[in-house]
Amino acid sequence: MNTDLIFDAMDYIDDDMLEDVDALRAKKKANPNRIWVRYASVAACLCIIIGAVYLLDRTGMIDTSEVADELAQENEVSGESLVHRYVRADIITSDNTTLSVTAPQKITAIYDILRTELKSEAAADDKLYIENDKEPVGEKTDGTVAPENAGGVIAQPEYTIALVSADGTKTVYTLVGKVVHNEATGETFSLNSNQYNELMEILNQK
Amino acid sequence: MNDARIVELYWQRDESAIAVTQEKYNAYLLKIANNILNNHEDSEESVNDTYLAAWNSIPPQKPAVLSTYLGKLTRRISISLFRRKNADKRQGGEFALSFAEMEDVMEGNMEPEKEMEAQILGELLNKFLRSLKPDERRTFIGRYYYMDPLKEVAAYCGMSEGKAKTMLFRTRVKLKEYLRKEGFMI
Repeated sequence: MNTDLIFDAMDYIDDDMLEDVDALRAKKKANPNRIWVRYASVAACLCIIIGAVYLLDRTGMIDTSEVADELAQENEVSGESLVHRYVRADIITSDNTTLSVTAPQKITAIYDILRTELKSEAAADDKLYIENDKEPVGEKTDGTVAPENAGGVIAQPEYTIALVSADGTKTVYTLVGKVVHNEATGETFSLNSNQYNELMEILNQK
Repeated sequence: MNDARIVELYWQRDESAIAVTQEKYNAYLLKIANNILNNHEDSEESVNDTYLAAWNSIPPQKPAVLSTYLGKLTRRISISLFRRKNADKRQGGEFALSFAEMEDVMEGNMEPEKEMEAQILGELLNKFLRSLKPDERRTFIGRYYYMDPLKEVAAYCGMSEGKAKTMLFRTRVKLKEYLRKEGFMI
């Protein structure tokens, strides 16, 4: 709460000091030298490639239609920022807890995507199995209710997460506690505490 | 359209004021909101609320620099939205990081009486910021007011990320000491 106060107090920072910084922020964003250099570099590369393709095509050494496809594909990937590669999640509504997102199939992407993209995307009728104070609040994904472990240990939250890559390949992961398990390959990895806590915050908000 | 002309539209209660404002400042305001909220939909909601707040406050307000005025509205609205959505939880994003960094400064017993306290603290902050060197002031405002990522702050302040980080740390230490000397903290 005290720390909130200082952020509220910043509302009263004099405008001239804010404008001074804002001018720097705008200047950096619109730095003409950087923009010129970037576009000039891209233009130069394209000229070289197009020139080479033209010459090689004239000699019959390459099929230009293939090159055009490759260039289009490269630009499609390289033109996107890292954030935009992780496109908006498409939620599959089902009677279990499957969340589906179109994304590159990288292990680290799972955590990033769930953290940044899925927070507000869950379907309203998702049923989650979360055991809290030994009282299960829903059914498990296979329709059963998981019993308490022997010795009264409370089972950890369990989620099934399906990731669909750009080429349509679907990979299913099970998240049990901090351990993420790839059902097809048997591959497992562990989230660190921060990653786990953040994911739980997101998933428990549903 | 320049700011004076846009403000005039608000004063004339010409509804095109909002469309013009949106065209000129939407991206700028979305960045401020997203730095705090780290969520596209929430940021859009915050920016839409900003346009409504601007319509409701101009007149009587007559800001000379519209970006600064709107930026303050967006920042305030976004922080409120963040607090409503997250109660006592903190999530990823620059606001959360900024908040964590600032917690060192604000330990101590204070009885928050919101607006009055914030205003008093704001006045002290102004004095403190004016006492700083330009780089120190700019990095502080860039990081804790605009909540830009450290890397961006370093870039537009013309320094390395490491230097910016060290500078911010030292500024926070100075601020803590300053507030203590001013009797703001018990």
